[in-house]
Amino acid sequence: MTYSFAGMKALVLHPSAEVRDGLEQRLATFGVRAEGRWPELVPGDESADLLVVDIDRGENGQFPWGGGAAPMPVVGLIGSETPGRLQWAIDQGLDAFLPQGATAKLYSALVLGFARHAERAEIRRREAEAGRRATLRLELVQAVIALMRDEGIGEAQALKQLRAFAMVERVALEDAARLYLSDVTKRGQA
Amino acid sequence: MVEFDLGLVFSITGPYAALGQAARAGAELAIEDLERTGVARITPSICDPAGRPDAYESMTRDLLEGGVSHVVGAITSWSRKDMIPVLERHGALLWYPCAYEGFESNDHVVYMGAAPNHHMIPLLDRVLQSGVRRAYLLGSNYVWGWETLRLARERLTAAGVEIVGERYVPLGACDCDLAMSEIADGGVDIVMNSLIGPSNVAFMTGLPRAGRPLILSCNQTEADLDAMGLCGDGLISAGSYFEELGPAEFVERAGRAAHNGRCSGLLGTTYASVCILAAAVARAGSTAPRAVFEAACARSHDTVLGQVSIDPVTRHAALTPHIAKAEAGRFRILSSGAAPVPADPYLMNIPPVPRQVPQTPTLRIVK
Repeated sequence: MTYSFAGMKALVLHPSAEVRDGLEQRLATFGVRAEGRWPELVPGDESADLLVVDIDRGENGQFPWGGGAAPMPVVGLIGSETPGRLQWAIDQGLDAFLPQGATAKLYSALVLGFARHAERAEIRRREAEAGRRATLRLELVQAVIALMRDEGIGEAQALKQLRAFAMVERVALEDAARLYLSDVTKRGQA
Repeated sequence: MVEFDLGLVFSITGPYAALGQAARAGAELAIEDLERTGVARITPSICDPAGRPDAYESMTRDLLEGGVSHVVGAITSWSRKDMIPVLERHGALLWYPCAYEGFESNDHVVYMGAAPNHHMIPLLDRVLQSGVRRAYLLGSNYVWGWETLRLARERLTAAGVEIVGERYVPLGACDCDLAMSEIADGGVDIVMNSLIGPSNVAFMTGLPRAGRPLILSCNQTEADLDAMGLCGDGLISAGSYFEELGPAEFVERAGRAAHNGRCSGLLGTTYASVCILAAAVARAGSTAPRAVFEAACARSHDTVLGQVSIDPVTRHAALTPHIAKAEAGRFRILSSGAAPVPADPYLMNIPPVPRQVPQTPTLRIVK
């Protein structure tokens, strides 16, 4: 697919006005409206679609979020290659990296950064969903027992029936269990 | 009159020699004209990589180590990408005169050829107006073929066109039989043809002329149209220059300079590139690549391609797109853009696809 960033808003957090201006111009060729910031983001910046940060001078306090929790893809500009600064970049969980002398390759960093950010958002979503379902273990056990009692069947058959019910209702197994327990009229359908 | 050295890196032998010969003829004609008119005395340093990918890097390195800081050349994107690391190390500038697939904006290149929003997008959008249902994609097996056909697939599919096949032929290979039989069997309306050089000639001459689908190209110029004889007739090509655009006096002199006696898009673009370079060196008062590039961007240039300006950020030329049809061995212009169009190398501002047939449903009821 041809990736498009047209219409997006970006922030460039960098102490050098020249670097900020250069990146703003390059982002403009992608249809991205960019604004420079230094020394820190301002309220409302959380809604930007992209953030470019200077790894050389970056600090935790510059962002209103904790490490790795940026609400948008973050591209780190690599200046010096000191291990301490690179460690800071790792701790921030940046989505893509770009050597400062290679800003002509910004497009690659955007494509990789947006893909990585989307992938991480999906992992976070799945982790949250797995956590939510884990809180419903008791309901699952209760629903299986209720089915065994109502239908006079064994636990394997009850679980199988609950799975079929979940499929018909298009919900997770744990949600099907809760639904079964909460609505007596559903019981005949499971 | 300014004086400077210029590297010319074109393959005038090897698998796409006809293209290299046309481009080099354009550069040499420009050098001759610039000296005659008192603009510049350019000393060319010429090499011929013979279409071998590994030779571009080493030959460019030798040129740059010899003190040259501007090079006109490449032809294929493969060779341009091989030259870039050497240009970067030496701080030199490549004036690249060919249509290409976009998605690049290197600080050591000036992109003088057409970008996809000059060729593929207007070409497909024109053809889609005539009710295309089935398309076949065929290209040379390197980045030009891959990327142009990826874009074609994306745009055609979005317009509801079925892609019935996609094949790639090794650069220089002439066996296109499989593609030809698939095209014959597939009830194809259009073939998007991104073959270059002898593969292209083999395909166009081998494909039966009776009952042919419409053949489209974004790289066919007059440089190797004659090689197909009348088998090229009917092909529709998009580009930033065709011989018919003139001016007649230039076309005549270009014809005398060219290996095949013909002016071509490649020849015209290379000619314009060298003229813009010379004007920029004169304006900058230096051959320092950065100063020359800034001077080249500082104003619009009156060239054989029409008015051409260069964007200092994308480093691409704004060009007037043209679509032409081969008839009796000559390209006849079907349509031209009203004005030069800035290049959009990353395709950020392409118009929505003109929908022409209902999309095939992706879901169906299964009993």
